[in-house]
Amino acid sequence: MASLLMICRKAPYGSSYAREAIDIALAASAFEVKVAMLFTDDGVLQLLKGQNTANTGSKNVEAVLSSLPLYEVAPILVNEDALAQRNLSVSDLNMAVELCRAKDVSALCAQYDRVLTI
Amino acid sequence: MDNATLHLVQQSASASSALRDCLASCQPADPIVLMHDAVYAALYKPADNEFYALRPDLEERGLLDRIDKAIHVIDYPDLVALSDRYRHNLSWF
Amino acid sequence: MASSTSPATDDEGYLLHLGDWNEGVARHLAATEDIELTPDHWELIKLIQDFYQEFDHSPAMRPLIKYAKQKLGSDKGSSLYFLKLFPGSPAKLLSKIAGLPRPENCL
Repeated sequence: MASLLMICRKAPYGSSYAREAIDIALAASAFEVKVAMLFTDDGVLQLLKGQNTANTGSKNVEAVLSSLPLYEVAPILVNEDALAQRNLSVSDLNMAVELCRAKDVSALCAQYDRVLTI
Repeated sequence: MDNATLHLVQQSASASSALRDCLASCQPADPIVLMHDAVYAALYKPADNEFYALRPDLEERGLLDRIDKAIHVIDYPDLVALSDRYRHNLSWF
Repeated sequence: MASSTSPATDDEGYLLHLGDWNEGVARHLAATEDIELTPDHWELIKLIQDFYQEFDHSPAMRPLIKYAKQKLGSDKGSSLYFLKLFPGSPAKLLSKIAGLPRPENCL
């Protein structure tokens, strides 16, 4: 089974990067690829609790991401330094995640067949 | 008409230099509006200037209850009124 | 009335406006797929609508089954059960009949 690590670095809504990363993750999982996701830099903001798109017509990134366990996307990793730099902690996030640090990234990448940064 | 300049910052402070560049060139009396991805900077107050953040952008990103209390939350009509009050409006992309 | 049961759909038969959906519309959409809706069908229609409400997209097959397992138990959380009620492509058929968009990541 091929494996893919997606490294998500962009905030949601201001651009379409977050949506596209999610589409790739869900599609890859439908093709039996073992998908893991690492949220780092502004990407950690995609996981914030309490996003409300009722008035904007955007897809709710928080809602779609919370379905990742049903797609068997795992692990879901978060760079804890990126959280701290933004005055945030795991209690601000919408799902259970594994924490890591920037220095872990290369070792992490080595575990996957493909790595995609978006 | 107020002679200070209203600054409109539009991009995430960590992904772009927009906020940093704005702060480097604005005056202490200049008010700053955080909108689009720049609203994440409302999680902490980035400088001593008067700060405003746009409610629809805060709501969409789940930030409304998290932002620094010293930052004023505004809606689009307030933004129009602010733009009107200041002689110059400067956008930072 | 034909007008109330035949709202606008795209080329593949998915509703253009989710607000047009009601039970009559569901029966009409099911009939175009030769499916007559029983209580078991309605239970899964409700299930996929709940999924859409919670996760803001139409699911692919695997997550839908997993969701069914969580909500309805393992007897109903199986692809065989779904295939029996919605033969062929259950996730696509269910999305259509439940008035949801076509699943984007469904094979």
